[in-house]
Amino acid sequence: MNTTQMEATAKFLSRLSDLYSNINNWVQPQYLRVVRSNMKLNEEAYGKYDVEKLSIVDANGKRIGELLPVGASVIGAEGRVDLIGDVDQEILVYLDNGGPHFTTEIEAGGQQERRTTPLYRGVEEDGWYWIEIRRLNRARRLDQALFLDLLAEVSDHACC
Amino acid sequence: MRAVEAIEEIWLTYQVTKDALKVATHGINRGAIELLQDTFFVNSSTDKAKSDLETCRRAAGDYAILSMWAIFERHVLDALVSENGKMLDMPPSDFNSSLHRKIGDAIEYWRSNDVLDLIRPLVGPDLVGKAKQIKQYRDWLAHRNPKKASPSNVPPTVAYQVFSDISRLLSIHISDLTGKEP
Repeated sequence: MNTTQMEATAKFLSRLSDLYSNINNWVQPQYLRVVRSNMKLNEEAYGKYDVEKLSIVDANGKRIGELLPVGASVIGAEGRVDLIGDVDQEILVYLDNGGPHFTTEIEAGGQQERRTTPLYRGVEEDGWYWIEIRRLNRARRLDQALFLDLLAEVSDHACC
Repeated sequence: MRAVEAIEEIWLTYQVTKDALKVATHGINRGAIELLQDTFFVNSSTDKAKSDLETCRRAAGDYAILSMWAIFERHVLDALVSENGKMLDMPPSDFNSSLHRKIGDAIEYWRSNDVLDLIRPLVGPDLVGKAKQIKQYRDWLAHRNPKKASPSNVPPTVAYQVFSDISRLLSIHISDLTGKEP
């Protein structure tokens, strides 16, 4: 891994770590706790590296959900981690302020038209976002309320 | 069916599949036999049924990308075929007819990246670049080798948006050529 690759993975790992710390704080009031464990990612862009996944467990140690990192190299995002439960899974992506944009250039009526459109709406700061697949282009910044809603959605766990 | 509609349909299928898997999982978790009757879940262990559903859930996004690529690739090739057809608008001759036929036969065998480069003037470099990256990921999904590192990951929503945007722009171009509604 060269310096640029190391910087990119370090950034991804640091963002994941921040997310995990937030989740730890968010789930504690729900009498849930988090357990970190190691796994490996193998990406063409960065090679093999160690990364942590996060399990969310209830007071009896039963796993409610899991945050499974997918990669630092993601089309249209700066990293992806999936929230996986018993019932469903949701995609969380890291986006920079403004989010990614596409520039399209089309020729209409003999004139070249250049249009820049954001891939997602609602990206007003750097951070982890959930993409609503039913409302395309809408990214929602992850916070405690949203995370607990998503956790309930993917896990069918009553307390969230 | 037009490519944009076909891609839309795959996207809808993906969402409904996710929901249907959710319903099935709820049924198993709650032991709702009436929901599960006449399905293979009835004779499966709960763990096996849940693990199968989990596998399906993970695969649903991959299959959506594979299916959307198939439609998208066909649409791009059709756009090239339409463009190639313009050659016959000139007074037909043995020369342009045979050249048109030769290119028409060859188009199917052109490499995807070369084909995508050809539509760059119609859709811009950004979308072409993204489509190439999705193609790389699609190839990895199709021939998945656990020993091989994964290329840049593609969330299904990104594939849907890139393919839809390009297909829409190509449809506008084709309709300009043929005079048919995009």
